[in-house]
Amino acid sequence: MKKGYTLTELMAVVAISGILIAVGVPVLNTVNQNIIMAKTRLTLQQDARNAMSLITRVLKEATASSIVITRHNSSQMFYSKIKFSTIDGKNYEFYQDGKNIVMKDGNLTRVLSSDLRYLAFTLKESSDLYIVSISMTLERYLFGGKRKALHMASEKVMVMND
Amino acid sequence: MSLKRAFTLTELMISVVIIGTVLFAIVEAYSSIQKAVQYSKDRTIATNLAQEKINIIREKLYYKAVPSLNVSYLTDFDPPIPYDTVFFPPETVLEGGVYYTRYTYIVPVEEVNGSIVELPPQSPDTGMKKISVTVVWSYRNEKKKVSVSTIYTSKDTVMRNASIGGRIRDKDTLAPLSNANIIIAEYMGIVDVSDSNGNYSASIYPGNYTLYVQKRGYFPYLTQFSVGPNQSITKDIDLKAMGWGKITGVPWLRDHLVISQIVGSTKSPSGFDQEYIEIFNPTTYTWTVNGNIGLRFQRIYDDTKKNILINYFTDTIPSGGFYLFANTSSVIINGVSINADAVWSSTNSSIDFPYFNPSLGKYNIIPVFGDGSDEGGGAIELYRISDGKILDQVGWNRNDGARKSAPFCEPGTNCQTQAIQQNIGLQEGEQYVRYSSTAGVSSVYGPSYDSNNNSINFKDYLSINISPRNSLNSLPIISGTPADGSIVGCGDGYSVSTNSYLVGSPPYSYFELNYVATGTWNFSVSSNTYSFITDSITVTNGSTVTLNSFYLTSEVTWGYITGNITDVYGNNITPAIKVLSSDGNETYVSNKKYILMVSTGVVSITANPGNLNPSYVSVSSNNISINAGEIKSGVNFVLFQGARISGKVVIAGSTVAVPGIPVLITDIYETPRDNQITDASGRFITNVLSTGSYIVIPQTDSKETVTPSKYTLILTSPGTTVFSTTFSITNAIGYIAGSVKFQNQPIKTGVLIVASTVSLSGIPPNPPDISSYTLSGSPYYMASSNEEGNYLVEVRGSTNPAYNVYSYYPYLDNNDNFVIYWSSRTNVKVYAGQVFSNINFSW
Repeated sequence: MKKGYTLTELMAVVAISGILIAVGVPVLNTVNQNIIMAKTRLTLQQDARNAMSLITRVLKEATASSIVITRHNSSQMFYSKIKFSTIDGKNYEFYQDGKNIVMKDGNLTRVLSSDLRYLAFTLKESSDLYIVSISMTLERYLFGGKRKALHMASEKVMVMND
Repeated sequence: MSLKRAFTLTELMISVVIIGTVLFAIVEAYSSIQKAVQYSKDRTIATNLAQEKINIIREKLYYKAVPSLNVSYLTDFDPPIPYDTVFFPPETVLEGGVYYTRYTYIVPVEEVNGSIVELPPQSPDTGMKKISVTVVWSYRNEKKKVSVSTIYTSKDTVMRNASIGGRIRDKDTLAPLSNANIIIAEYMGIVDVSDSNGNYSASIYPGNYTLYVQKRGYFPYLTQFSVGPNQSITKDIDLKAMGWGKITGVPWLRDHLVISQIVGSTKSPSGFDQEYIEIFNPTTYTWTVNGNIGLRFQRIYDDTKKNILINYFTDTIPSGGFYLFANTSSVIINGVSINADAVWSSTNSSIDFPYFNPSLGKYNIIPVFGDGSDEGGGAIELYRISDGKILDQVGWNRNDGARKSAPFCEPGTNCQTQAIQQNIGLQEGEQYVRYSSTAGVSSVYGPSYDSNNNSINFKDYLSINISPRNSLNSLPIISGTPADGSIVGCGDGYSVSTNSYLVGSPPYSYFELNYVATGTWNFSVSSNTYSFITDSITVTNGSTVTLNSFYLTSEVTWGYITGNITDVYGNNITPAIKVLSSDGNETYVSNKKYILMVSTGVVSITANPGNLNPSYVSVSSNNISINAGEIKSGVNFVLFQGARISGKVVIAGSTVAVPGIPVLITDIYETPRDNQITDASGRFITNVLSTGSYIVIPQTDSKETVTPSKYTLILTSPGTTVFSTTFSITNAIGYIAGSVKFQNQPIKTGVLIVASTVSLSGIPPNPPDISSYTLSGSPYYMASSNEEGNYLVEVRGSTNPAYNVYSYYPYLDNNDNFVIYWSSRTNVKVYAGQVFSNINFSW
């Protein structure tokens, strides 16, 4: 008949497991947090890239004379909204609504991201509507608000039509 | 009932280790996928940054995109990437947590038959410039780059609506000359090549030019002409044949010790089985052998080379000297005793060398045919002990048996040496002796011929024909290793470098350099780091200078650029013209010629940099690549004489200087000839322009006005600087800059900055909506702060009224609601062209 564990063996197992857990849990936790952090940053980069390329693609087609830079309502940031029509007569709006960045295509609205921290449409000079700078920051708090992932993107768009 | 066995502690621990390893591998794999994704994101951002920079430059006036005159090269990449260091210096941008550096390079280009050709930076403006932006960043300790280029065309592109044409002939025979290069000095490029009837034609921009016609074997011809819009002019030119000769030669390398003789077995009078290996030093310097030079032997049965343990008696081997390794302290050949300089140590392993075992009376490392067991093939290697560098290898085959090939060199494999071909291998009494030259073995010349092919570098004798030589002997040298592919150049300024090539069997290296102008010149032949350089090779008309066997022995790490620099009449210029290379070397032209030592790689050359001789223009040639020891001939410049124009730009109604205003200088046909930007003191000074009439036109954007809008003047005296006038400008650009902080930390998320001479009302101060209705009236200027918490706003210079600067920071409170924090500064007086910095905001 085979013998079972001795008490010493059992105690050794318990001790080793204890040490492993004591060391391993914080390490795993940090690794996990870093992975989540990196993943979130990438998501934010991707969201910012998608939103940015959507805005620039449509804005290039805009007519400069139709551009209005304003804000969605009085609780939003100044110049966080741009309205314009394209050369083929379609109306677009992009604006900040709290933490949402919203695209309005005709009467359809959709949210491009809900992690918005900062959005501004600026001109070098108010008398020149042909070059619009867009600055956009996405931010997401993680781990109970203790750490945050951030991505800032900026781009200049040359409006092609009068 | 059978009881199941429980896990043992060991099993448990093993399983913990296995699980741990698997977990670790998963985490690693995950992170490497993350990194790959990160790289593609970095790349996208880099591309956007490059595109953005191009847009920033294209937003500026065409004449603000000044061609890059001060160029450095990014040598991390191949080919090196040129970039501007003055007008558009490198800038570092932080985005998404990564630092990117943007490099800009602008070069004038023109379209030739549908393709874009780059021109030297000082070329007259063609209405087209190529802007290249390279963005570089570090990814896992490696430099990565993205390059984007675009062509920026001026809205008033100059048309090539004038033309020049004609016929090129030999002045003496009047025969048409084909393949003559037709060069416009001001374009610094070949505009046409004469055809088989000697005819040429080229479309050019209207203007005053210097025509430069060049053909190998003829003196170059220079003439000046002027051509107006839609005008065609004819210039028939007869070239005078130049005296020329050629240089031929046979270059050799002498860079390593060689194995010059091998004997595997020869009996002494007492019957001792002697073996020896003789070494020869064809280099120009003495080598230390004791403890520094070793031998290895590889037997036919071995897969690896085995080091031979050696006791050295003689320390060194001088240039042209011998050194004798043997298995006995004195070798007796044909009754003469010759002392060995080193002998095999008695501690050599009898496992490595089965025919060596002093206790059994066996003293041979190298087996011979007579030893039986298919022996007879083998190979000897001479190497440097400190770093294992192989100096020479000699192998010999036994072609009749199963073990036929010398171990170092199976046929068809990539090995340094082709073995000596032997039917039954090395025999008793047989000797292999290295050739002294391609003519074969000689007893009066050093055995130094080494084409890295043992089968044609050695002669075998079935009895000892050439006695072994030791450190008491030396012989003169007439060969070496053929310097195949070496670069041959002459500093005559006309000939074009050539390469040496192998001829004959056994081969030697040979070159023929044609069309060398008559005279006494610098001349160099180089192969990698070894060169032959002389400053006194004399070529006479119709003759050939023959350099029989000569040696590349000087070690060099630099190259030479040479050429002619003359005025437009083909004359020498005084005071002497300076020539400067981008790596900081310089020289002066002497009697129309220069020779400049430069470091290897890619360099730019500038003749008369900074108009050091103020009567002449400064001209550059970019992207010249040069190898060690190479003489690059024919980098020629024609410098035309001229003067400079200066001027000043100030704010209208004041004496305040305006920096950064582009000023265009055209000739009377309105062809742009120079482009400058005002400096910190509002002044500009042109490069030297050829004498004649010019128009100075400050370039302004649609909001700026300048008085007078243009100024016409005539340059008459070379070497002078003519002041044009003081231009007054209104509404020119200035800057406001500062930082934004929250609780003393830079704000990374973005702050909106609005500047205006208008005072805003409300809490927070309310900037108006911007639309086509706000085009007129006092303008508003806006910007967002960047990821580093800094901002820069461009505004029209204004001091009265001064600017008000407003900042807005959306703060996210604990309930996830935005609260706009704001701040303002008044009385910010911005002067055109200047930066009002330190307008900082903090909350």
